[in-house]
Amino acid sequence: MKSDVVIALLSFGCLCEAVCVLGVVWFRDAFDQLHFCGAASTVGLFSFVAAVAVQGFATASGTIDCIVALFLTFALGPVMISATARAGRRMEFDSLEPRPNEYEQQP
Amino acid sequence: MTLTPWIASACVLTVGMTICGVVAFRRATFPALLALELAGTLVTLALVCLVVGFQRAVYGDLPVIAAVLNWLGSLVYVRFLDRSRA
Repeated sequence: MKSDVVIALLSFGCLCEAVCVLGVVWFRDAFDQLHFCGAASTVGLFSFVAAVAVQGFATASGTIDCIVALFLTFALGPVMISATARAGRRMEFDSLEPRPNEYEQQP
Repeated sequence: MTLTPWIASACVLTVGMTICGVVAFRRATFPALLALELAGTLVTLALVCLVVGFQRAVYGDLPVIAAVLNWLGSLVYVRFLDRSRA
């Protein structure tokens, strides 16, 4: 029963990460790829956290180490993605300010 | 060595990492950086899978260090990209 739960969680986590990789490969616009890159450190990650918590180690230290590593990825990932998005925006458009046609696209 | 679900997951994540490496090699600078960041996330996950798969708690520090260094390295790249624009 325990191993079935672990297999299900790991399969779901790997599927999520595979979708993120495919998104980065498939989409041509870098700002579309950015969404998939950010999702890699959020959605599938919790599945891995749950799998580690279910499987565990003989000692608690290994479990804690692995969960801390996954939590760091979850906590620091959005910072990295926002910084990358800002740098990309400046590279593409020389400014962070919205352009006039972007105002028009708003509903 | 038996192929446990953890080792199989690490193999799948490594394939994803390789694809990200190819994308980073072939695309322009900004999309390549995104692929590199995604590869860093996959490295951390793959290390966690390997540590749990082999039940080696002493290697538990590896994914922690990988997570922090991936974040720092990416921020350094972003900073240099921002500077190179000016």
